[in-house]
Amino acid sequence: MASVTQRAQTDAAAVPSAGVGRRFDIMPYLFILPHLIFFVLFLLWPLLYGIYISLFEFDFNNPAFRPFVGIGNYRNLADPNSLEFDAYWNSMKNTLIFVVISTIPMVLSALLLAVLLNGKYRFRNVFRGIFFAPWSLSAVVAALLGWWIFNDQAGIMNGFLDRVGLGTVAWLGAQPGAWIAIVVVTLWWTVGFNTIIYLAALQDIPESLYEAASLDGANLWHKFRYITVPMVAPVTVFIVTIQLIASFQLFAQPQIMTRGGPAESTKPVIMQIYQEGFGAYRMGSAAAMSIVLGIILLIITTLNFRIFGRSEER
Amino acid sequence: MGIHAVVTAKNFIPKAQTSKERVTVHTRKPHLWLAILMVLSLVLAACGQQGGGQTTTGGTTPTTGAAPAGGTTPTTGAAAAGGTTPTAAAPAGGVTPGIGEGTVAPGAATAPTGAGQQPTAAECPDTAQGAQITYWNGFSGEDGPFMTALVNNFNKQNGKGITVKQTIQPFPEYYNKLNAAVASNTLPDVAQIHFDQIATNAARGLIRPIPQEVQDAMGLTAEDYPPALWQGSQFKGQRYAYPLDVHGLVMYYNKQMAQQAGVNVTGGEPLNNEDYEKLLQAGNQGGKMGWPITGGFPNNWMFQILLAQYGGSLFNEDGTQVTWNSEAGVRALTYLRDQQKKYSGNKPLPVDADIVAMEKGNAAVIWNGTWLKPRLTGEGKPASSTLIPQIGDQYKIIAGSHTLAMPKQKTEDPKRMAAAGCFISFMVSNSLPWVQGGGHVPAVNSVRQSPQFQQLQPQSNYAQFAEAAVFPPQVPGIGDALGPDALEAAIVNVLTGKEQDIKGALDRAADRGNKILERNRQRYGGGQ
Repeated sequence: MASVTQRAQTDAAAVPSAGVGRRFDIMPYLFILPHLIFFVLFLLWPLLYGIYISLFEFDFNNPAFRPFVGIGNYRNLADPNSLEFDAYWNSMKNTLIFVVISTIPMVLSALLLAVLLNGKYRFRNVFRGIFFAPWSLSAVVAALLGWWIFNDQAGIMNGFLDRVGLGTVAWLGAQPGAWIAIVVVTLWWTVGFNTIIYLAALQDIPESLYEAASLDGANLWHKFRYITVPMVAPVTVFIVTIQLIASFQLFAQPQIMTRGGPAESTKPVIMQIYQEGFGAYRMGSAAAMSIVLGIILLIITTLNFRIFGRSEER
Repeated sequence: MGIHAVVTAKNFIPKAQTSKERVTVHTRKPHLWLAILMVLSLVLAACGQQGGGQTTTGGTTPTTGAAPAGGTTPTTGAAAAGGTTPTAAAPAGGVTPGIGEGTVAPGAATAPTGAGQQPTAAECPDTAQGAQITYWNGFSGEDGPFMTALVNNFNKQNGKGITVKQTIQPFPEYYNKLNAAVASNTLPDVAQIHFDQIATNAARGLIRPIPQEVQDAMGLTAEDYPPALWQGSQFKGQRYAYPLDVHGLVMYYNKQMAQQAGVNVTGGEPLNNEDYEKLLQAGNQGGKMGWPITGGFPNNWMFQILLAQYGGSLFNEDGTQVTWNSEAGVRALTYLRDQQKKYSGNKPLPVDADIVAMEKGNAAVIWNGTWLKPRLTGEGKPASSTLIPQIGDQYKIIAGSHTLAMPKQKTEDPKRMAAAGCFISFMVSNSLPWVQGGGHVPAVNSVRQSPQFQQLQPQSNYAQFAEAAVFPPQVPGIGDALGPDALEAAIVNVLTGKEQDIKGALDRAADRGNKILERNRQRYGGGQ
């Protein structure tokens, strides 16, 4: 998914520079055609259809009852007395909690890992492989493993804690255990991706900068703080953006590990949308919910680029 | 993907850094717009993909979300719904997740082949000769093999060369699969449908009324079932399904503590309030708990049982109004809260803490599902199970039931339909091998009254269950009002101490419940 976004950005950057001659040139469009076809088929069309559906009470197995409600589904999300309001905004709040508590460790530990993995020592590639490997698992597998580790009664973690005499912890049945478990699993599963990107960025930093710093008597921390961090800053913007979007799409981990519990406190907005659509068969309302989520995501992404992206240009 | 992203990331960085002001503006605009589209479509795409994901729901539909353990799951209660049963709801094993956790090795000792019970030889009509039909259920848990054994029995004994091909679609996504099958016209000939889902699925056109001539050939009548089960499995006066079993909450008790208290738990009658209190007090000492009541499942069901016992009801008779905020409702929830204060060790208990306490011998009593039988009872374990006590003025319990129904087909084949009818009839009349496995009670009277069932422990302790069970009216989507959007929120809030005003909590939940009923009435046009 990350690469899809990236690809679109490169495409976007390529189009105007190629079309500078003002004359319409079909060449660039031909180049993006293969992507464009899939984009229209699998992204643009579903998006437009989703907007259409959001204007109806829509149940795909009950075509007899499909009234046009206009912005009714959206109004429900803004009306505190509606049935949807509490559940939706509660799940949005949960998602935001996850975004906040996951993004920071996810970016920081990726940077740290990348620095460690960028050193010169034996078996370096083996370690790189080890840290990247979990990322190749599917979300369900990763979450299932997390469930086996953290589940309250038969989990490995509690088995271990019990054996060393620390007593068991209600990881998934109570807070803050549930969030901790979900963040730990997500971190283990996805940190490899961010790490690889950082690693690539680190390799782009000219060695001469470090050498010069060494001559000036800079220690390791100074080199990290005043060379590494600023040099990878543009990549950090990129990673934070990708991470924000990924965190907003939290679904499989709570779905499998906690089912959104305890007391709906780990139910993310995507799960709420899913339940509205495929559990309560209210696809119209679910579509409206996704579009509102999309708009919120868009605002956050734009802000992210505005704030961090701008400061980099100065 | 990783490599690709790295490459593009590199391209992207220098551009942003080096490009002049004007160029940046140029590249930025379309960039932004495309990004807008991309983000929006990503979100939608994500939702779409997850549609195919592995589970249905927590809150909004009762059954699916509830489904913790494979087949042996609570349904009536949106009670189990998502949020509040984190661990129980988790994947695969459900309530008894551990692989070898005291589960009955399927196919072992208990020999799920109908041993002992003389099968009422399936008399299938000649019209069904040689038919091949499909059957879907969601029993992926430890009771799956018992269901498979029952299907195999039919395949061997039907005498007309009928073959039933069973497909197990694990419960979390079971109803999802059925819904998708409507669209692709691949619905099975027979499907397991939970009792409280009959109306919804009938209204949404997933299942069809069983034709009179098929019903006649099946030979099952009102006399074969307890009245509530027989009438409740009809929708708008038409028969849609035949109940196979009854399942719900039973009382698990610590055998030793029951002895100390000197109460007779296995007399075949429920304990009365006085004896029950004695039992709770006997257990409530030395750091042990009389009756651990958690902040989650199954306290919604517990409330519903007490409500019925105090003479209240969830809905009015035609299912158009919520009535749980009655005096009986307030009494029921007050009773639960007070007992929790007295007997639950003075601290909030996470979901399933009651099960663990019972397992370790630290509790006198818990109310929980029949499906915990393999985990909590048996040789060398401190607990056994029996009927829920009588707290209120009349003896009632709330239950769920697995039923067998016929999904709607685009083109009807009389031969397959005859075979399906014969199959359903055989299954419900020979359900003994099935109930052996999961701890359920057979729905059909003759099986329940058979000496073979009477010998089953602990199931026969709570056989009354089938008669005492009350069900919500068959109104499509009515279960939505029992879920976390309405009733469950009130119960959870009161029993986790977030809410002190019991009447107020029930009233607010009733308000929302009525809105949900109204909304579903518009959608499905009411029921019964």
